[in-house]
Amino acid sequence: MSWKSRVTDRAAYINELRSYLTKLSEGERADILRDQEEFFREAVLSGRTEADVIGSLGDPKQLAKSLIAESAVAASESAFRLGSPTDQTAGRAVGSESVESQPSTSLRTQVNATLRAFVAIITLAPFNLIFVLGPFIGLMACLFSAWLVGGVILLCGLLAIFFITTEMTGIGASVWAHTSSALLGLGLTCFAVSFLALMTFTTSKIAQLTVRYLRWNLELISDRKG
Amino acid sequence: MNTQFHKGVVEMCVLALVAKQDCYGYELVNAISTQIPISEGTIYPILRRLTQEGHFETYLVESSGGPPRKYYRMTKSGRTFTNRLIEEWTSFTTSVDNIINAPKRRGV
Repeated sequence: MSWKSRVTDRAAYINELRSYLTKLSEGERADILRDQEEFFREAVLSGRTEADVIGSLGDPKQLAKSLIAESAVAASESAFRLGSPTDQTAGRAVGSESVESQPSTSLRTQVNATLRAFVAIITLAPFNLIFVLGPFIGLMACLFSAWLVGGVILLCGLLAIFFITTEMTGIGASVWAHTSSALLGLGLTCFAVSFLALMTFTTSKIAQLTVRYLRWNLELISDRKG
Repeated sequence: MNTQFHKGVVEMCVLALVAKQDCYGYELVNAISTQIPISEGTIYPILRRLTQEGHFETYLVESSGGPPRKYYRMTKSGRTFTNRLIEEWTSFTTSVDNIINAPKRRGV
């Protein structure tokens, strides 16, 4: 094993781990490394050798990947404030309804966080690809086409209104024809707007479900290794 | 026994231990890994998550000969959460015990 010849003591292990954790924020990385150092120190204090601890921790690169995946999934969970059933009870227990009724983060943040968690999980366990990627592509295709349909209907509605208003002064077609076309355009626009609003909701929900699935998947992967 | 089964309860064990008294990380790793077969790396991420979710607070305590240890203290919301989990767990295990120990039923 190449890493075992390179990483022979605590300092080297921590350095190696640090070099793989560059994706994480400064604070989080410092936090993790601090914990890891403490673990080393305490293990040695309790009579274990550094080599033994290194052996039980395993390849620092793999450890880093699972730490990054854990962090990404946790971040996306907090983007939804779903944080397991935990957060909800916590909010209720303190008696502050405001905790729960606070507006959740924007759809963009949610989707970004979900995508990051997704990538981290794929990196952690490439063999896992088919179980995650397959359903994911299917879902994305459905979502994408629904958004597209909504967008096109909205465009049609707006175009209809636009042309009616610009043509109105020109040709002397019957007022009724103009009115009905204008109403049609208005109707399409309204329909598209509510459809897109519904899509925002749906996308957020689907991203949330994805995060739950990723959490479950993460536990499963780390299980195989442990 | 099934490791997936173990993992689910590790979080509750961590909560139960910190609920009794403030602990530092390695203490928890030791206390749990001597009872339940888990890989040692699993405890720290759980601690970080529970802290992030506001169930724990941390503080540093000087230790003899070495950098300070990070201790975990339970917050009010953590206590409520722990109590609820333990309640659910107790009622679950009681039900399972009842089924395991139920006398044989005949003629029904």
